[in-house]
Amino acid sequence: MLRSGGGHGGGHGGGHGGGHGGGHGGGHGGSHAGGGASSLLSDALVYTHDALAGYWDPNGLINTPTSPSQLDSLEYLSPGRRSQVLFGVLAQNFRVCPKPEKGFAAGINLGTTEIFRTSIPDLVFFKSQLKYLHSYAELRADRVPEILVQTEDILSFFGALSHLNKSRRRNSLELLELVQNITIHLEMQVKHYCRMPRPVDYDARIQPMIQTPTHSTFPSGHATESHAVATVLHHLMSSQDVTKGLKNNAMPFRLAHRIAVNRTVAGVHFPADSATGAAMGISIGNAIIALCENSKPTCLSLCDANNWLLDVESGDFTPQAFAKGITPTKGAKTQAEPLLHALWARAKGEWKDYTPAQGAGK
Amino acid sequence: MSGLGWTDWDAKTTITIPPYQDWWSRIEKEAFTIPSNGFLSDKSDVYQFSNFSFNFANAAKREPQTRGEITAATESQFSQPSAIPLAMRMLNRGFENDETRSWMPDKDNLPTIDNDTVIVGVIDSGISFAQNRFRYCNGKTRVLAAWQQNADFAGQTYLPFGKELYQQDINDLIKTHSGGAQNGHLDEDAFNRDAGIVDMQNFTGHREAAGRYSHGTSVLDLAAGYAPQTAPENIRIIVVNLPTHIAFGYSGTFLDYFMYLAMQRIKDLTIAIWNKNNKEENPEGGYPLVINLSYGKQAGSKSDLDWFAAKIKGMKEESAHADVPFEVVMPAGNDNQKRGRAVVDLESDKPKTLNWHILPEDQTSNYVEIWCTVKGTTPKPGKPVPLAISLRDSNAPQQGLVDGFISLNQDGKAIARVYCSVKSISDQEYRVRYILCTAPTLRHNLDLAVAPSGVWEITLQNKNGAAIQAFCTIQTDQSLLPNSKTGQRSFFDMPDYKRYDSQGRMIDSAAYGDLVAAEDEASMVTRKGTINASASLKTVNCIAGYQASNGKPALYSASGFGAVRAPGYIPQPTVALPTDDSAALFGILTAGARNGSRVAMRGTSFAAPQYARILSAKLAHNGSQLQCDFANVKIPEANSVKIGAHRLEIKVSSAVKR
Repeated sequence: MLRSGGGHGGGHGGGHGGGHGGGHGGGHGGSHAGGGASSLLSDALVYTHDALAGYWDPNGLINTPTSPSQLDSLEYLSPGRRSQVLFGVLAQNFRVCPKPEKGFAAGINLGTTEIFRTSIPDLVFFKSQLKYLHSYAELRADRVPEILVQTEDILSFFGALSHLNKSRRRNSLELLELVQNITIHLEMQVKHYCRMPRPVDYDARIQPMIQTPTHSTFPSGHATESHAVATVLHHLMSSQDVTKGLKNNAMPFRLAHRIAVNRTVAGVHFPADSATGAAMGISIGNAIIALCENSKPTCLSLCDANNWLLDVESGDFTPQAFAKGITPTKGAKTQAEPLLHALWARAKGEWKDYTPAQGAGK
Repeated sequence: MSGLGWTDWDAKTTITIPPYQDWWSRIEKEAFTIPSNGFLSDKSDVYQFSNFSFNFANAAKREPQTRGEITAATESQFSQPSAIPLAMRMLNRGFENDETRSWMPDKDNLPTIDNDTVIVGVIDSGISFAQNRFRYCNGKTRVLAAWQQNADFAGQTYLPFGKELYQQDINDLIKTHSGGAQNGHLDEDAFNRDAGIVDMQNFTGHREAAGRYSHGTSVLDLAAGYAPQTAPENIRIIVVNLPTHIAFGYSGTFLDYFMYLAMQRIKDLTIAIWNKNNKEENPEGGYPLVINLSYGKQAGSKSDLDWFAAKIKGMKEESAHADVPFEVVMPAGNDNQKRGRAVVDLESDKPKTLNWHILPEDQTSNYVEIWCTVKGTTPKPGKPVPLAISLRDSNAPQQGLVDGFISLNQDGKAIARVYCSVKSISDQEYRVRYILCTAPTLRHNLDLAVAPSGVWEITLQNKNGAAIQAFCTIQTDQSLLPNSKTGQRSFFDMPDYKRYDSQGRMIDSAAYGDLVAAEDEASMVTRKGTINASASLKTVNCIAGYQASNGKPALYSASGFGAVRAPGYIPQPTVALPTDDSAALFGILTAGARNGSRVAMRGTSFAAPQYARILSAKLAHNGSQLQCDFANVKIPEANSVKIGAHRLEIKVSSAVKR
């Protein structure tokens, strides 16, 4: 008897900025002890069962499995299913909504705390940013490999900052994948409420070197995701909070900045998109840390409507101006989420043999 | 083509500004203006001719460090510019036109250094001078001064344009961007923006040092980069960052003037620093100075008649501090194989034709210079010269008139010009120069003149009794943006010029063992004489390149004149340094744009600073083991037309094995 076997497998892949990548990998089908599912294997198992199981009485000698507790860790699940559960847990804590009555385009709430909100620059402002599309384009030849890889994968770059992959620090990697996935789901809603045209819509001479995505230019998805990941990774590596990390220009933030700027080089974002995206990403990263630690999230106050966290003189997205422009405040204590606490504890434990340099992260 | 025809030589049709400037103002200028439908609304980034010409005409008479003659005067050919284009944001509009005033900073800005210091001056583009290789262990800079020619004018009233940083300014900036510690971790991006090395805002701003490769940083590292732990106290640096390519013009017209100002300023700063530290005790002394300038041009007189060469000569002859060692180092050039040079031997009256092949889709103008030496009295303006010429014209060659020009017009617009001028050498000898200019072959503004691509025949005829030898060179051709491919280089296209030998290997101006065959001297087109026109002076060290693994002169390294006759000094390379590690290992390793990075860079631009390093180390009595002579090593002899006197190599104790 042939059964249709095999998994649904795979992830969501490309399309979104950064993509979903490995987090959902493994799919629904799952693998057998020695390899993947197939109709041949299932057939073989049918024959083997016929040969070995023989006649057995369900009321006879059987094992007594322990009844697992409900709220322990999710270690018993495959990575894909574990991600799905944790994603659901995380997602129910956040809410994105438009806030026109308050004069803002969109905000993100964590429980009762508003962790982020933004208004939108006008067309005239974006026009004034076009000169950066011109000057950053000169770096295109230099940045081709990074830009192309980063259309689908930014985690590999963070993975280069320390030993971080499925074999080493598996839980940290799962956590960061989760951070990226939830960030995408939040950022896409914010983008919709902040919908603004892309650079290519302003002038035929921009000619981006990659396909312009369909979603809003503002805020930048790459900036949001890279800064969310940087925030959580930096906290894992150093236990430092984000303001210290930004002030010291710690390596995860340096990388996040470069990933963001590469999108301007590529011709698909303005510097303002990256600055607001970075602020949003850090807010989301902090919120996730708070949920994981069961503490109060550090919120970044609103983007300054005057300079959008950009350099006051030049209007460019620079680490100095950005670090200066944000003002952290503390939100309300988060709801307890034991499943997240468990993941966090496992992830944090993977760094106990890691001692960051003084002036951590430099 | 309809409406296409040459004008005639006419004694009343003359120009009063140099030919390149004339062509620039007719054809190239609109590339410098910002289109009204563009998104650059900042008018301060628009290029205009400045009001001033930076003259320094009478260098020998000039009081040291003063401005010399700065006028808006007209000039004769072969000499000073009438103006150079500058973005308005760079220009000091209040620069006082007073030749007796100093253009040096207040001496409080100048550092105190030891008397045995040797100064290395590097003039280049994208020099990222805060890298560790240019600092000591305590984090302090080895750079004494840095003139950022491309930066916005910052109120330094003694400077004609740009801004200048001094040792203390650089140290302060380093500290600011290193979290308050002198030797902390430097935020290079922030430093570079603050210092005016990188400018992402302005259309005409520098971006090079934001990338991975930066010509100037690589050159500075080779010339004067040392690990902080072993950096000598007595070798210091002065840097000039030139403006972006757009300022040079398509033909490198204005490059000479920026280079000259940079050199003069470095020399004057060196004297000013000496005077601050030593004026009373030793007014005639000074710090030995080695200046590296990894730039050049293809066409020119290739003798000390060249404007830039004459200026260097003048600088070397300046009476003040005449005994202090002063060396200039420049590259031989990389255009050996570009088919940009031809020598036409003309018997009386027998015309010869040279094919000048202009490429399609070329968005820049093309130029050829033709020089010859004639015995006799120099003809006056409006009088004919003995070398007759025609360009893309079925009519017989005509004798040009001194200071005159002819124009190929299409529908009333000039698409090509031939300019004629003379320069007297003595009362019995003079040189004739023709400059041929053609418009781009592709332009996006359809209202502008476009020249047809393809072969333009240059026909020359000798109307003199005695034989004439005409030297033809295609001028430097570059795009306005550094990495752009829109400037297609033209070449001389003659069927008897062979690029490859029967085994498929490239031919060179001279043989090398049995690896490289020599060119056939029968063709008019030649590799000989492709040497850098700006470096063709006896007193300039002109450095060629070779492959380190086997001593083979680099195929691209420009050749000296060889046995071809030319008046006075015959340009040859001085010496050669490695520009490729081996056939498989491209280039040589040097600093990349980013602190701590290494990149492989190829070209004679990177041979020259190695020689500057050798010279400065010798002058500083520092590491005489730096050089070794290949004479003792068993490799084939190489011809002096390629390598000059000999090949050198800098031996390091722990070279990286690639």
